Amino acid sequence: MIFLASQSFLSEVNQLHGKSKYNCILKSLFSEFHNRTDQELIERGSTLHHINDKYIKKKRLLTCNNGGKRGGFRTIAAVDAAAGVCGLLMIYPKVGPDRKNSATKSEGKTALASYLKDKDSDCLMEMNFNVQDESVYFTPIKLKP
Amino acid sequence: MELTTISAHKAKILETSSQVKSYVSEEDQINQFLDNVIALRNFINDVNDGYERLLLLVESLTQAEDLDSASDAEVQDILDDLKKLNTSFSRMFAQMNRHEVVRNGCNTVLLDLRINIRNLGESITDLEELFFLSEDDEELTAMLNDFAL
Repeated sequence: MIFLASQSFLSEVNQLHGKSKYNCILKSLFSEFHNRTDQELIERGSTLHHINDKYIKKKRLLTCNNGGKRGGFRTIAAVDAAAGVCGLLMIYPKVGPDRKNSATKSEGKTALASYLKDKDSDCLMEMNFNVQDESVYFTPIKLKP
Repeated sequence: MELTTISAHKAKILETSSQVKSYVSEEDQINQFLDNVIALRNFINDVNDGYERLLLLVESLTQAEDLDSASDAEVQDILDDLKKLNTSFSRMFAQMNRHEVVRNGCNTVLLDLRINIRNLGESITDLEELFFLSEDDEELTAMLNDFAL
């Protein structure tokens, strides 16, 4: 499975990572997505929408400083197991001063539209896993020849 | 009492010794109090573990989208049950959080409980949205079909 992120997703990650309350966000992403089977990626989290084998999922990520409990962040992701692609659409905190209300399907749709725009412009980012640090990092990826 | 005689000394010593011995029973009381706090913390932990199991089950329910009149009622039963549970534990959380001793002694597990209550509230809303308020969205379906191509 390849993990691709929109520019707006990356911007949200960077913004949160810069704040002490949320600086575990890269580790939370690692914990949720590293070494997951395709089935786990489809099953974990709530399904907001799906058609055939493509899903829009809302996933609960680990909280910072809370003994490994999930619930600190929410990620909206699109998963197409057949194509081997997991698109990261949006991420937001559910605790702390920047906490947000639950994302609706409409907001997921807006985030997916932004992802598709980045895909057309060939400016998606790939999420990679740093196993030693148990963290993730993002690199540009060119999908068009 | 002026301590001029052995008897007077004895009385004073025994009185003071008796006071010191009473501290032991206070220590027992403190230990019992601490045991109660630990028991309360364990109870809240058990509640949190139960919430985690529930949350996973509710998430997996969102995979099932086929809704007919029979399953309509079943989903409503589930939602009603979850709402009642969440309301009960919200009240319990509020009561416990009012007491400084409980709040301080069970701080971490109480914070976990609040997160779990909020998470379940969110999951209930997601279920209602998915099963009862969902509308055909051809545009979203088309976008989802395109996203990995």
